[in-house]
Amino acid sequence: MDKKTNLDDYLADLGISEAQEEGQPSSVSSFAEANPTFETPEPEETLARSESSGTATLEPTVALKNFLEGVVGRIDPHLQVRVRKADGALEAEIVGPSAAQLIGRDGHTLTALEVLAYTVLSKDSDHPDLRVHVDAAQYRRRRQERLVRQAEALATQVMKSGIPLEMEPLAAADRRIVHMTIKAMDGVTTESVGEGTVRHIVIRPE
Amino acid sequence: MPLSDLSELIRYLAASVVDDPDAVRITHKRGSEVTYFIHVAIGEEGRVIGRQGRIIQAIRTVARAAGDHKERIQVDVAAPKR
Repeated sequence: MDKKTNLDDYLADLGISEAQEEGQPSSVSSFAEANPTFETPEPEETLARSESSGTATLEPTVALKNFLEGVVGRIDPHLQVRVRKADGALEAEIVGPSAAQLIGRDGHTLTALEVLAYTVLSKDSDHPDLRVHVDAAQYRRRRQERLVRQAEALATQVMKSGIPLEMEPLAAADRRIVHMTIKAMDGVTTESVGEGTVRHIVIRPE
Repeated sequence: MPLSDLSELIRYLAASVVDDPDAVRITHKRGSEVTYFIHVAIGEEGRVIGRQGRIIQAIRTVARAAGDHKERIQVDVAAPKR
């Protein structure tokens, strides 16, 4: 009887954590797997099983960490990988003394790691909408901060002058950052124009 | 990075994107540059090459970043055996 109360508490906790962690499909599914334990006579055993099956169906964050650790561990054993989930994207950060080696010119090596990581994750998961970001030595983060500042400055300029401005061509991920930044500002809108490598953002007064 | 370590890195990258990772083998040839050949299970070449060569290009990029830049590195998918 006492055990059952504990189990109910435990499952209630699971329910709460599920509600808090939005957009985490794997935790939802592991909770769904845990659900039948409400009716089973031997809750402890069933719980233990549902936990182990949760680790067997590799959560995307774990799969990403495993893959990248496999890569960087073969390059330099001192490199480490941190992974976190943010805004529907998985963000991996490679840290260590030689992490900058994995940036590449204009972040090309990071992009290559993203392509490979995405391929690995989408191979055995049902999250085709998954976005994967890989950073090393804070390269992407610093670049992103610069881009946000630049976008804000240009948007302010457009707001004051009322004259549209065209930005330099940017990669899709970078354009997204600019769109998001300026979306949060009043009096200006953004639009991507052009195709392929010349596709760029125009900032217009609203 | 020594040749054998680079082989192992390339093997790991290729094995990560195919369905039959155990079938992946790497050979290499020394010329004016070092060329690594990725051998995969029959029918899995496309997996390693990727749409518009995106995967093989990504493997090359990572391999070159890991290399010591003293030598040019090429990575190709070995032609399937008939």
